[in-house]
Amino acid sequence: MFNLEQEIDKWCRSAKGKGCGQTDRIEELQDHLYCEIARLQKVGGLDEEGAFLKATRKLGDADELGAEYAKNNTVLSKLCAIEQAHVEAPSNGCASTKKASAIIIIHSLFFAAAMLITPLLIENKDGAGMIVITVLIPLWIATAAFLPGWRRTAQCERRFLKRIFGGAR
Amino acid sequence: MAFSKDFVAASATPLILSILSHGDSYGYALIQRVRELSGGDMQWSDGMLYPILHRLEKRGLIESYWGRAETGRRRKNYRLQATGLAELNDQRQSWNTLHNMLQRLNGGTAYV
Repeated sequence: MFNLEQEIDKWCRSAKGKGCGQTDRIEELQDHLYCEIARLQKVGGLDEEGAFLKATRKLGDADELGAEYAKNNTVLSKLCAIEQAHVEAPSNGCASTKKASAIIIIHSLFFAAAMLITPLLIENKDGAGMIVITVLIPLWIATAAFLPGWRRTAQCERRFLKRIFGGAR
Repeated sequence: MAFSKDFVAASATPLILSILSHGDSYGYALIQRVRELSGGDMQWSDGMLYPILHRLEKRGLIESYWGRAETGRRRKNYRLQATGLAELNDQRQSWNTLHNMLQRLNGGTAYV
């Protein structure tokens, strides 16, 4: 049985994860969908399901819509959008749990601290630089690959960077 | 008549500002108004209007506020700002100049 409200909610959740992020934007698109569905039912004689499908198709692809919104973003808001994507993306297959995010942040902070402290502990500056380049950075990248959620986080970031910066041509 | 994508994009701002100069409105109503004014010839891709509205708001040409639809649903309305009216006058001037140039080239009477 087709449930219009559920389907619109589902569409909105999906759009939210695709760069149309902010709640007021989604609410505006939701209002548009309800208006268009009502018109298609009244004028076109379509049933709820047919009207919903046509209205969402007319509204356009959520990815393209997200890229259009991204053109309005400043560099700072683009960076915030990437972070926001981690929080809002579970419905989009970019599930990044709080625990996994915390582990990734702690891991990064640990290696950043190690890289900063190394030159302070080793008197030979060239030697410290070599340790950072040949030991700490490869170790950081290698161990990062074993962290829970790392792969999904990287994929999610890559997808959002592509959409945000790719859409800002 | 089919309008090119570039033409639709270029004419979006003056059309939105012009419609709003007659009174506050919201996204869906703006799309319907353009369809009605063009006799159905100019079809905006529904979703593309909203990022444009947000861009105009960011430029301070229009401002938004939340209201309620007859159904009780929350609805975002847009209002023209003084800077938007000035921009509209500039754009009208540009489009009129272009129109006159084309008319002259076609040997017709220029619109004043």
